[in-house]
Amino acid sequence: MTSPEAHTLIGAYALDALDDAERARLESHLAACPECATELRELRAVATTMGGAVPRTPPASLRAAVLREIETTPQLPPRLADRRSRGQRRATFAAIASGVAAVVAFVALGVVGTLTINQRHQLADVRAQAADLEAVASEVAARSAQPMAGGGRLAVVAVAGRAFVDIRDLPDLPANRVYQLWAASAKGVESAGIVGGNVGRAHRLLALGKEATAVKVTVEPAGGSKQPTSAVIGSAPLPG
Amino acid sequence: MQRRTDDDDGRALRAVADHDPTLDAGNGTSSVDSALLRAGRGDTRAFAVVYDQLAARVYGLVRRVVRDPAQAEEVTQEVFVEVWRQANRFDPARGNATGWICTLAHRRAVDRVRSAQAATDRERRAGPMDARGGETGYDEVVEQVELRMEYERLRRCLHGLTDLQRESISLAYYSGYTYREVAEMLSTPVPTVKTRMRDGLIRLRDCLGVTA
Repeated sequence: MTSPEAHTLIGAYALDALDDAERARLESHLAACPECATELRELRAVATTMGGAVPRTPPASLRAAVLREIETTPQLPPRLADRRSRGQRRATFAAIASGVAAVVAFVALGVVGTLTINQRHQLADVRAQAADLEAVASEVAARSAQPMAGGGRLAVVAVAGRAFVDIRDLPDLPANRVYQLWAASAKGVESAGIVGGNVGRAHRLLALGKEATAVKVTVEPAGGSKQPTSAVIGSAPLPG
Repeated sequence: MQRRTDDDDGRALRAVADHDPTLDAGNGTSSVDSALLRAGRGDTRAFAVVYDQLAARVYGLVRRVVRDPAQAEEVTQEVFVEVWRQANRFDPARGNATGWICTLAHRRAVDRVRSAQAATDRERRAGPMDARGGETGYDEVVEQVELRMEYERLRRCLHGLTDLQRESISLAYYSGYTYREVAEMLSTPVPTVKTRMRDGLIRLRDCLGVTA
């Protein structure tokens, strides 16, 4: 949608007078157009004033029904997309990576025993969201996957000291061998975790130092090694 | 159309909240905003405050659009449950609670009226414009608006629009028609209606002195 075209639609959008397809197209335009967003906020405020012109008391039974229903309705977690700046792929990755990290941290807090029913619902939501985020992150990462020597593919999405690593299509290794991830920097190479030799596919969220320059993969004896003992089969550079 | 035959709205204007946060000129966070923020942390009593402050506004708007009282109640309930679910996504930096909830309510009402009418309209669309034409809903709205001192300015501003601006905006907002439908009803080219909606709203914005 071009900018002038979108601009003329803002009024209709503020009045909810677009059909679903146009609404979706305009919304994607708005995400990349700060002036449009400002105008939309103002026109929405006009609509809100118009909306206040026709008040009417609902039946008292409705209040009771609403308050009863919310007692058993879990609340959504805060929207992760709010942290995303417009149209920036990297920022999208950052949102995904920090979302996964936040969710993992929340689940890892181990406070489950003292949760209220409502909080349990929220926790279930958070876990479901974690699974969704990981799936999304994997798919995003997989688009940039590079083949590794001997089979399998490696993809790394990295932002601000964190890297989401997705490795897939991994050939099975002999029972006494595992895949090992490494964080490489000017100072050398440090282990960044082990992936089982017969899992086929895995993803990891790594907290890396700012000095890390690449994520590398080798095949190591079961239990992993302190330093690589075989040739690097895959390597993905990290943005500087 | 059922949507336009219900004429009991004239009796509707009793429960106007004394305090209308939308008309407050930016004096920081309103009581509804702070109640909604507390509701976002799971506070059901704060949520009840939000409900009490905005139920008449939401129900009135929803009923105006969907017309049918039973459906309006259903939609209003859905809206408030959704407000509860999403409460901790409310960000006062991006607009006040009244606007946030009103926008959500209007969208839901419009979605409901369109899905409910999709089937019957498809049959009627082939026929003449009888049922849909000639009903702007505007006079009704103006009548009600006149009952409220608070909305004196809105009424005056609506009167300051051209007929086409006013009818386009009114049919879309208060009756839930798309701009294409409005164009058809007013026998006016689609691009013209689209433009009139926008410049009409801009004129209202300037007349009302609305700030986002």
